[in-house]
Amino acid sequence: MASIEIYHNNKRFINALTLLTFLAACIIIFLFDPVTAAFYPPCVFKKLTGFNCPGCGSSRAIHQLTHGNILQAMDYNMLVVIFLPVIIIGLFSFFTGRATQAWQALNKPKFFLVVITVFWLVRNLPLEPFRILNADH
Amino acid sequence: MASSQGTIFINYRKDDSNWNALALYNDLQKYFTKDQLFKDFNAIRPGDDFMMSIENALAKCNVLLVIIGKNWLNAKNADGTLRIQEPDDFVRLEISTALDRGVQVIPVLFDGTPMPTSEQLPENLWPLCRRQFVEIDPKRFEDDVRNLAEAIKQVLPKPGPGPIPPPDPPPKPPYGRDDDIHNNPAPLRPDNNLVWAIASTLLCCPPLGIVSIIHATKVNNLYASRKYNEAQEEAKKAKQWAVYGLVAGIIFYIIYGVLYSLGTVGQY
Repeated sequence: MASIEIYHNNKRFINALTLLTFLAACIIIFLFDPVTAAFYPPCVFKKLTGFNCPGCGSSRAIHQLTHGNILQAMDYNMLVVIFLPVIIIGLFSFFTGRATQAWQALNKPKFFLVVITVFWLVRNLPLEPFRILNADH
Repeated sequence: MASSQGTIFINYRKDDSNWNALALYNDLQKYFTKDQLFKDFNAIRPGDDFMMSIENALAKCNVLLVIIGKNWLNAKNADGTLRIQEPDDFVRLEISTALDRGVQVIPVLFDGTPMPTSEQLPENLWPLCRRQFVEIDPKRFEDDVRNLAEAIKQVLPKPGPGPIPPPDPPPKPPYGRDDDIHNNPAPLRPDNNLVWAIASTLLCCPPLGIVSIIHATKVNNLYASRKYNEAQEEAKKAKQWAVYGLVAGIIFYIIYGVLYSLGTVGQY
């Protein structure tokens, strides 16, 4: 409850800060392709285990999305491309209190748990039809 | 036989809940003295600054009961505009002033009216949606009012070492006890914070984010089986783990950025 009060008292500031961070991240990711730019941090999970995490390829995918290449983006990380609108609706609903009904319809934690876990496992299988989900094919 | 101090205001719309307010006002007198209860403080004399009157009245108030009946949201002015959307609607002014002043606000739902959503309310009433509400059913009127009175007493300032002994209604078990599901009014369902869990999983730190989603899955089920305290706990944990994931991700980005600019990493 306390954090809700803090949020209500500083709503303008927090919303502005979030929007700015979001825009800055979008601009950086639009300008620099993670495939060629060296300053993007690597995925720790990938570095340690050699396997893809469910978020692997997301910065490359979002870079392609900001350039309008949806198929190329899906090649890097299909799940992020599909879930990005969900995240945007959820954040929009959280910050503005609008579109809450759309978000309520999407608010199915078990569905997301299952889909993300299955995606995590399946994209690491060395079998042909699943390799399309891998970030590094 | 009141044993508590402090005052309670009843906020209501005349053409929505005139009788509801009167019935509640009368029944609450079993638990509070008449001079603790105020129902018509919006009786304002001509020439009064009504903002000042509301401020003055609420300055002495500890609890504001917002009575919401079937016609509360849809009450219209003569020209067809919704009253609740008017900045000078009295009901709205009283609630928003109380919220601003930190007065404890309890929505009291009559006639099976659902709690209004934030989409239906003007922005300065949004905090109302997050308040724990109480439902009054005519069939269990006296029980419901007794529970409401118990909830109010927990908010009112404790009495001094006065001569009056505590009244007789039995103490109420806290929320989350399954054996008392019919006597406890339901609190609002806590937000399961799923959006932060997903964002954390996909964009920052999958292991911590997944933990957050797992906690989020439990919230709605616990709420549905009326384990309100546990639902609240799980919602809190879901948020905590999502924040851990987001913070871990951001800290990692910052450290990496510093190392990169020092030239220690980034050759791949």
